[in-house]
Amino acid sequence: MTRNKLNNILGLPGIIFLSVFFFTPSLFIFRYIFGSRTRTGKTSFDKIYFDSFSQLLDFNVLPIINKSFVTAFFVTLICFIVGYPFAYYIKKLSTTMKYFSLFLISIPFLTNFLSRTYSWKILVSKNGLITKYVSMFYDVSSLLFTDFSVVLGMVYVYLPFMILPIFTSLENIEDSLLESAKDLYANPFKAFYYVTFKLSLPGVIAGIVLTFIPSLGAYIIPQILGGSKSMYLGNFTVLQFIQASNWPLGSLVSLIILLFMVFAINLLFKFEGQRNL
Amino acid sequence: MNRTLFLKLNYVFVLVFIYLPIFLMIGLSFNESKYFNQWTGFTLQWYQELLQNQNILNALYNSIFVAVVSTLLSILFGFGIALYLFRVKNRFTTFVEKFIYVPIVIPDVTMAAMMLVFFVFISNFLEIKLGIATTIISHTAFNISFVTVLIGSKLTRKLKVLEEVASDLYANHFQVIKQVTLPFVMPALLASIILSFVLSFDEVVISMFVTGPGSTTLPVYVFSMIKKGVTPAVNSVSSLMLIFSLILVTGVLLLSRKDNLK
Repeated sequence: MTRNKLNNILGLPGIIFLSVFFFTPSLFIFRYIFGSRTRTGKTSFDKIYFDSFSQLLDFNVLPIINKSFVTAFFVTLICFIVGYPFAYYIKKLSTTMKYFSLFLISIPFLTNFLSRTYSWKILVSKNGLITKYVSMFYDVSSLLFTDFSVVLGMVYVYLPFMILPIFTSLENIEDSLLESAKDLYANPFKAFYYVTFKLSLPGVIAGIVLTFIPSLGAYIIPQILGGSKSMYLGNFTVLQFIQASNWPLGSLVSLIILLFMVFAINLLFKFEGQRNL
Repeated sequence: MNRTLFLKLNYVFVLVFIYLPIFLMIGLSFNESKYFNQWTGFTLQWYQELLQNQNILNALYNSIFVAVVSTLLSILFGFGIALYLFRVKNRFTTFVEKFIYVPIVIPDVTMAAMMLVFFVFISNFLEIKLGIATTIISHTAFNISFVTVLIGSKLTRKLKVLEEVASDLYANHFQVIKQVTLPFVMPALLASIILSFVLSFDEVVISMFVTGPGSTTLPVYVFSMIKKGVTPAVNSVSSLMLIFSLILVTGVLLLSRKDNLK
């Protein structure tokens, strides 16, 4: 057997697997969007239906999209406000402390998502630590099942997604650039803005996309911290599949989440491309 | 306020913010009292109860089985694709190189939906039921990409040169893989084994969609417990899950750090 043939065979099983069990399923979503929910909850395919599109308005999906966007916006904003100074601070630490801090931030990046969300539930439920503190100022008995706790929970889980890319881009800035700014009589604020901040923009944008996208389609966090009444795009989709058996509508909303994501990633690449020019 | 002081406070605040809830939860799992707002004494009672809960043990068994099998499959498929992309360059591989990122970035809700509609649709024609097999297939479908990307990042020019030297010295194809390629990518291979195991073991949404009665995985079961409320049982089982993935992830981070220092 020639070497070339062998190389082709190496990739073949995986590519076939992904074509059958990833690529093909993604096409099925499109078929289901144009199906119709029958009275038994099964989906009928005897012709092309547009039920899911009209239900988008009937079921008030637009306010849900709006709410998800507003939530994702605040989550991203808070993550940025807290995350940027954090990344900026650890860049200046000694090598050992820097890597140790990075290590501490990367661990929650990958550990059990469900447990971390749950640990936050303890803090905001009745008599929880945060609830006790907030109730000194406001009249609340429990913060659980409020939009406030959903936003905080998302910040908690997605903060490392903001910090890590910002740190990477800050780390790549050469100190000599800041020194030249100083030599050219830039005050510290100007030097920071024109050198550090502008050069860290790619990391900032990556961080924004990486926090915004998962917050937009989140399901677990709203379900645990927001309760079953507060609707976001993620749990609306799951509801259509698991309880309402309205698969065409569920498929359409899950596709909408995907489209938002594709749009955001394209935006990211566009900025990346500009930087390389 | 002093700028450095602000930065320092923010730093401490973030670390406390991230680790306080985790330590609080682990601490509470040893609390004798059923109520989480009072500490009455140290106990292992809740962990002992976990060991007697047949539902949790079954779910744990399912999770481990799914994670092991899907890890094996994803390593086999993902490593193959990584080598293929490394050695062959044409229009098709350029497409695959881009497409391989889709399972990584796709929102879990979207992937869950498409796997469910796919399996249910083909069950009209084939003898297939939602259960362990469909869960393994779905986990493999997203893990392959992580393995390919992680190992692919280690397949560099340096390796190409080493492989060429080996071939020039009359090593055959299998000798090259065994004696040059494998040792070179070993740290990345180990890291991707652990990572795909953790990703599969922690996965909730996709598993929830494609699993059937009797084949519930641990996170799906724990998720249904969490929705009911804060209980000592949930404290202990989530602490265990967290500590377990914490240990594995620390392993991955140490491996990749060691690899970068080389």
